[in-house]
Amino acid sequence: MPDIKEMLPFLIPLIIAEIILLTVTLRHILTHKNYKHGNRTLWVIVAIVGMEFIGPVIYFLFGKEDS
Amino acid sequence: MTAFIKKECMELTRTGKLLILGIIFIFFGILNPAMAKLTPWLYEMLSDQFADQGLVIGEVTVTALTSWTQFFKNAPMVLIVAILLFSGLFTNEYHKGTLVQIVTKGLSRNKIFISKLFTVYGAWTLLYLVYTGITLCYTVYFWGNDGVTNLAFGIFMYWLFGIFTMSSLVLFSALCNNSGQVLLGTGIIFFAFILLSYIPSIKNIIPSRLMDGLTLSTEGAVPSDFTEALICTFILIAFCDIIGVLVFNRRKL
Amino acid sequence: MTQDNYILRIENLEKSFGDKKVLRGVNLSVPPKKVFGFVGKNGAGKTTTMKLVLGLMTANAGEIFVNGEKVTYGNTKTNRFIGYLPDVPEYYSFMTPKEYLSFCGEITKMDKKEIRTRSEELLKLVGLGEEKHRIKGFSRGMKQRLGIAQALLNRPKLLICDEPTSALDPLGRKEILDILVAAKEETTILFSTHILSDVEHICDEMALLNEGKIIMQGSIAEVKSKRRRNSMEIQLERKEDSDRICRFIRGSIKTDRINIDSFCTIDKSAKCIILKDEALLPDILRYLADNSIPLIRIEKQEATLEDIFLEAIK
Repeated sequence: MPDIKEMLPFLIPLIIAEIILLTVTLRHILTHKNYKHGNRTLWVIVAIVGMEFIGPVIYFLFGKEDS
Repeated sequence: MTAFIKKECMELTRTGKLLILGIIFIFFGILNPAMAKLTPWLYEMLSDQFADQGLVIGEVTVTALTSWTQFFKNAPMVLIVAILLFSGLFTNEYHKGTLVQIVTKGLSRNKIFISKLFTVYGAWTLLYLVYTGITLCYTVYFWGNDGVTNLAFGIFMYWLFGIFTMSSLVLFSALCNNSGQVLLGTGIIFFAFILLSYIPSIKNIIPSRLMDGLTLSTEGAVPSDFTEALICTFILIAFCDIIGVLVFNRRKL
Repeated sequence: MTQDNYILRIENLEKSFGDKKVLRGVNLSVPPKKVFGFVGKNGAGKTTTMKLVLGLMTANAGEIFVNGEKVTYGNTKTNRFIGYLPDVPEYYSFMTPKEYLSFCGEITKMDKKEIRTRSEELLKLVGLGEEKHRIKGFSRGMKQRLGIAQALLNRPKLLICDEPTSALDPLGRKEILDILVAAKEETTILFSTHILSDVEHICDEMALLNEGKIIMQGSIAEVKSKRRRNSMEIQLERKEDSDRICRFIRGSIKTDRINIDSFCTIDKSAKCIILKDEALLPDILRYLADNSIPLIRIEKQEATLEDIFLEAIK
């Protein structure tokens, strides 16, 4: 395992980006009642399980209602 | 026309699309050097396994090239994410009927089409710059930039490939009625060219050749090797845009 | 009136979708500064006609002139004279009403100052002056009202409304009608509907579209007078008296051969006589008085647009 200190310049921004992405997605899911497909529980699970980035992308493509 | 571009930009920011795309591009921008940094450790783990099987892997040293290898490896990923999020650029408006009102207000269809085209080009350029910029900063900071040749040209070519993909996305947006069809069409074009690149006789002249920017550093390729592919791509971009605008002018909104 | 004084003129317009002929030679002229009701049942071709006027479809035959200029498909220049309110208007939901109006203003190349004053004036007119929220959560009625505001923004010569009231509750409908009446001051309004009471309330002229043809056109009074004379309804207390009256009518017109139905009919409960010729009324009243026949009511029946509509599309 490389020195964790050496990895910090990568880890910190990555984690921040992750957290922002997840927060934006979850906030969107939780503040909307209707979705194009699926329901709230499904989307929360998708967003968290696929959280490195694919979950939110899938949600914004297939879950987010148009207006 | 500026009003319509302004509206497109407002849409990108207010619907959160730009934010999502921005974060993902930043994420991958950081991931490239991070993967490079982790490479020795990954090899170490693997070499233990290989050692059991009798294979010996030598010492690996990480250079700027390792980071740029990751850059070109992840670039299709960010491009696909961009395609996914832009697939509804036209079709959402067909679906809602919002363009009908704009057209009845006397904004010409050409202008609508060109505005949307510029918006995706602009967004792709901006996001790609962010992606490149972040990887560049990290790479230069950790390893300097030795050992990579004609990097800027390689990066430019990938950008152009992205522009080509976005043009085909817009063409399919003019042709199709829903975002699924747009994705299918663009996806077919995208993967068709990747498959075609396995045919030696045409591999050097089709747009997918532009994804090989790394060979400028690794296999001693020179920019002039890409002339045919560049010309071909420019022609295809023009073709997509012109056919797109003609189709859009005649289509039912 | 010369031809080009009409704000909208449609000549022999034909349109088919596949085998289905939707419009079979529509002729229509709309004079300026009027509220023009475009009536027809669902599927009669109202929306198709309007879309053709807006250049959103190609016609199979015929010509359309807006303010004297010919309409072409695709990028038609005539749209600068027109404000359009679609049946279910949709907007960019991420904008506020004010932002949407200024966006529309910029598209139509109005100057900044004009956009500001005009949108404030219109938002006030449609009752959205204080609305700071984005369009996202708007109700049907609010969207419809915003639709009128955006359609009137660049002072169009012709306002086209596609069923503006059909999907609304009675209150919402009244609001829209009031706004349209107010808008009449500055523009010509062509509005399609199948709600006839709306036409009676606010329209000056109307045209009736049925099976792809205009079967009636004119001012409301003209249309009403063209069809069916006013009739009288006489309701009696006893059933047998109805027959007596009928016999009397037959006697007073002095012939058996004429079909009595063209003068009066008895409805099924046999308590009501519908008299189609008012000229007979004084005689009948005298007969009722002479024979002391008990009476419930005598009422003049005005032909409503509903009757005319139903009769016309038979």
